[in-house]
Amino acid sequence: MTTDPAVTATPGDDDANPANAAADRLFRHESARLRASLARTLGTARLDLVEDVVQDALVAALHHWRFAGIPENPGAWLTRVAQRRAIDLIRRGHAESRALTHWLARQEGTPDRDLDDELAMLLACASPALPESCRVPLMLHHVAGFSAAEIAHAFLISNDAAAQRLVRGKQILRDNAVSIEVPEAEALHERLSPTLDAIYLMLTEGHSASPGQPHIREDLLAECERLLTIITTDHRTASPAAHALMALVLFTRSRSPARLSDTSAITLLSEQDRALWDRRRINRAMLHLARAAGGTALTRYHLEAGIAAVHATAETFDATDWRQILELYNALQTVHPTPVVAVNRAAARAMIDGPAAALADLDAAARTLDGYLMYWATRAELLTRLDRPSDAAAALRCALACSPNDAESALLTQRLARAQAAAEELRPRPSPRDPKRESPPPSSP
Amino acid sequence: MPKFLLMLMDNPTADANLSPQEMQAIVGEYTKWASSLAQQGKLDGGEKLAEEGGRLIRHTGPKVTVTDGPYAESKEVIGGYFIVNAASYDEAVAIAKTCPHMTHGAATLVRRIEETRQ
Repeated sequence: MTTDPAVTATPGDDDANPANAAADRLFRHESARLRASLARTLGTARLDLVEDVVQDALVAALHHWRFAGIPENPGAWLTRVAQRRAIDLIRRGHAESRALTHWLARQEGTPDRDLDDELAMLLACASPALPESCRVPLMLHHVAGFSAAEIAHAFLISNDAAAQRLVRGKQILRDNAVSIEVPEAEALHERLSPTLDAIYLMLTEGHSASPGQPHIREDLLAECERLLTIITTDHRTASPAAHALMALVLFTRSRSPARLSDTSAITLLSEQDRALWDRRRINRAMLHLARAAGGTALTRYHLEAGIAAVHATAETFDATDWRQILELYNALQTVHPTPVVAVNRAAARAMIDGPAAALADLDAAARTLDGYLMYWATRAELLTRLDRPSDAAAALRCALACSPNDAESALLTQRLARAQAAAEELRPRPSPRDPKRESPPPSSP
Repeated sequence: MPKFLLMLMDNPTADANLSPQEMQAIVGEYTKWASSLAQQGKLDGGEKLAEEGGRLIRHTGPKVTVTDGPYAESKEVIGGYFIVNAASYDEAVAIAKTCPHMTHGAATLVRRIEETRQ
C-alpha cells in the first residue's frame, strides 16, 4: 500500500545522467530560449512573428544537423540563423522591421539576459489576465518548447483544444498588452504564486498520468524541475514557496527510477528498492527544503515536501516516521484540504493506529471521496488487512471504475484476483458467480 | 570500392509543422545511421546543400539565362547528399533503404560515381 499516491514511477531513462537528460530535450530548450529572447523584444503583440522566426530556425537546424550532426553550441547556431532571417525580413521591408532591428541590436548584450528572458516569459504566462486553463499550456509552449499536440498528449485533451488554448492565450496576452518583463515587488509576488500553482499542476499530471498514459510523464517532471531552476536561481523570484516546490519536485523525481519496474508496472513505495532512489536529487531537495524555511508562510508545498523528505530519509518502509508524517498531513488538511490529503492521512494513520481506525476516518470522509481512485485502493488495502477480502474485492472493483491508467489498472486487477481468491477460501461452498459480489458496495457505509 | 552518391530529396514544406522534440528525434535517427555506416567504413562524407534549388544557368547559343533552381516548379528539392562505399548498385540501394530518409524525406536518388583511373 502507499501512503503517498505520489509514489509510483518511470523507466529511469535519464535520471542516471543529467547531461543526457538535457541533451534529450535540447531542441525544446534551445528553441524556448530563442523564443523568449525574441518575444521579450518583439512583445506579446508580435508572438506570431516570433513563432515564424523560431520555427524557421528550427527547420534549418533539422535540415543541416541531419547531415552535419548537432554542433557544439546549438543555441548560438539557432540564434545566428534567426538573426539572418531577421536581416532578410528587414531587407524585404517587413512591417515589423523596427522591432526586428531592435532585437538584432540587443543580441550584443550579455548572455545572462537569456535566463532572465525565460523568467520574464514564464511570468507573462501567469498573467492574471489569463484564465487558468491557458496558463499551463502557454508555459509548456513558450518556455518549454512543447507543441500543441504534445500538450494535448500530456493533458489528455484533443489537439484542437490544446491549439485553441494557445491561440486564445496569445490573443489575451496581446489584447491586454501584457509585457514580457520581470515585474517589481508586489506585482512580482502576484505573478509568482500562480506560476508556482501552474508548475504544481504539471507536477501532479507528470506524476500520475491520465488513463492510457505511461504512469509517469518524465517529460513533465523534467520541465517542472527546469522551470523551477529558472525561478530559484533568480534572487527576485527565489521565494521560500518556490524552494519548497522545487524540493517536492526533486524528491518526486528522485524516486522515478524505482517506481516503474521493467514491465512499466507500478512499484509501490513499500516495495520500492530504495537503493534505486537518486541520492543526488534527494540531497539537492534537502538543500532547497532548508532554504524554503526562510519565510513566514507555510504553504502546501512546504508540507508536501516535508512528507516527501520523511520518506526519503527512511532507510526502509518500516522505519518510516509515521507520526511525523501524520502530523504533516494534519497540518496539510488545515492548509489545503483535498481528497488526496484525506486518503493519505488515513493511510498514515493506519500505520500508527491500525487499519480499523483508518477505515473509520475514511468512512467519515467517504462522501467526498467517492470517485477518487486512491480512496478505493486505500480502502481495499485496509479491508485486506482486516481480513475482509470480499469487501476489499468490491472496493477494488470501484477503484477500477475510476479510470485508472494502464499501470494502475494492472496493479488493481492483480490485487482483485488475490482478494477474490482469498474470499473464495473463506467460503467453503462458493457459487462460481455470486451476483452479490459483482456489484460495487455502497459508497458510504 | 565504387562510390555512390545518395541525393536526398525533400518536400520543402513537409517539415514546417514538426515540434522541436520531433525534429530532435529525426536528427538523432540520421546521425545514428551515419555513424553506424561510418563505423563499417561505408560512409565517405555528406553535406547539406544550401538554399532550396540553387541557380540554374541555361545557355542556348549566345543567350544565357539564370533561373532559381532546376526544380523551381517541382515539389522536391535536393536537401543534401551522402557518399557511400558499396560494391554494387544493389548494395548502395540497400544502404539507402536503411536511411531514415525513407521515412522522413520525399525520395532518394542513387548515382554511381565514375572511377577516373585509367
